[in-house]
Amino acid sequence: MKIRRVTLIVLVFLTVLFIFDVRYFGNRSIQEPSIHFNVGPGILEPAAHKMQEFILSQSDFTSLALKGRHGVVELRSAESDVIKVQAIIWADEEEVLEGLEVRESISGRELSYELSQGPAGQEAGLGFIVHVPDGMEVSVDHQFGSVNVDDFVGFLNLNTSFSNLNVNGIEGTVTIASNFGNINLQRIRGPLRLDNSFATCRVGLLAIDGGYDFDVVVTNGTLLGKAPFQIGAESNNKLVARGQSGEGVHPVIIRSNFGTVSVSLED
Amino acid sequence: MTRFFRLLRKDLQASLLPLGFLSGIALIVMLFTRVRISMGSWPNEAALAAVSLPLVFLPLWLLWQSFQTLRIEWREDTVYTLLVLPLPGWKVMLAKLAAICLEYTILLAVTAVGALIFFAPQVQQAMENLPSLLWVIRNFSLVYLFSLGVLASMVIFVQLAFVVSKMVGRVQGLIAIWTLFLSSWFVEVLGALMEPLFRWIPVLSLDRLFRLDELRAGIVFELNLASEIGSWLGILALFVLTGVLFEHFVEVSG
Repeated sequence: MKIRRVTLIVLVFLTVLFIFDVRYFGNRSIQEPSIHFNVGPGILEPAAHKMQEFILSQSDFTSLALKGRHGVVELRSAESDVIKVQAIIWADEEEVLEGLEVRESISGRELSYELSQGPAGQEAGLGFIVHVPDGMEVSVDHQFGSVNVDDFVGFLNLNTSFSNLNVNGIEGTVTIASNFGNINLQRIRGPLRLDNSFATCRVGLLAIDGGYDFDVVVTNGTLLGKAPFQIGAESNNKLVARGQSGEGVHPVIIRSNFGTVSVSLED
Repeated sequence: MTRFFRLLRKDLQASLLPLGFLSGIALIVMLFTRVRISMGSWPNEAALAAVSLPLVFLPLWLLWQSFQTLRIEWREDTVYTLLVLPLPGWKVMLAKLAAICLEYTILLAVTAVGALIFFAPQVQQAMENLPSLLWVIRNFSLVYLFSLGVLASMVIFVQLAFVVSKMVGRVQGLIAIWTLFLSSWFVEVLGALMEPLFRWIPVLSLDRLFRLDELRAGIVFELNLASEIGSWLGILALFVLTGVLFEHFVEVSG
């Protein structure tokens, strides 16, 4: 008889805990789901391709602008004074490829690269492998492909659509505008401005002197996080998160529509 | 160890008839579908339905079977024998769990072999869209292992529910269902509570494990282990608890 009573007491106790959990901690939906699945845009395989290489001294330039599409952009910075740009042009046919080249232009202290105008109606792509000196400002405008940034120090502006964006290691200021794609930002140390729509974003920040000031707004999407901010729900399917780490010197501003945003801060 | 295997063999022998019956049904459904496709009555896609049908039904049947194997022990009064065996309770439960996992493996193998025999052209056509045979074997093996893990977890919940239901005098069915529900809630909460302890564990990149980039670029498929490990530990604890309850506190005349 004793064991029956004990069993029933334990079951009743667990039931009370369950009711308490549902009543007071019912909104588990804002916690990060353990499985994350997303299919980003694919990358077309080039039928024909050629490469152009540009090597310049940094001395005259403070910023670099790249405009590509359908290819992969690889960017990293290092302690040197040389800007090295390898441009990979691709097209569906060799004849089309022959008429294409990468145009280099200089405007003040800005150096920029983009594809020359090809034959009308012919699809062509341009990707880059870029090494820049630490501290430069780099702007990348890319569509239908992939952008990978590793160990970058400086100012980075990315404008992508239908592209996967992978950033692993940045020390500096980052500004990103992206639509339709997966965004994976890891080991970010510095101010961040991220605007995206229809994208899945994972943001991994590293601790920094002065700390971060979080201002995150997600509309019609999901906001997850392991960062020092409070998530609150507002009208019109809007999730808002605000908070600070340390003195809150460096702003982290994220605006997302119809996407999933996950923000974490590592000590 | 020999006693454990004897127990396992006993459970497998008890399941032999339903196992053969289900395998036969699955093969007959596939054969029938093959004939209809050959006659042009059904489209090629029916092959997929014929293979999927046993796979959908299989987990439900195995969960029922995990409940049934324990129920039979009470119904046929063999539970007395189990309790006097010089085996700890967890080993008794493990034998039943292993028997269910083996049944799952056998039925899965029968379905796979049946699909290869009856739907060879369709399988070959599907293979042309997949990276390689090695890729398929590797991924099927991984999916099998993952599904086995999920099935084993569900069986552990069912075993606990049954044993707890045998510890009360009345409304045992309702108590079993409620315990099943509470135990799944409990491991979920435990996972959430213990998550901060395991945040140091990196996210498992399933897209790399399954080599999904060979299928298509840009697929992100990740599993956050931090929130899962607490749940896994909880399931393990429930398994041990079931063994202890079965060994020491269960009511035989229920």
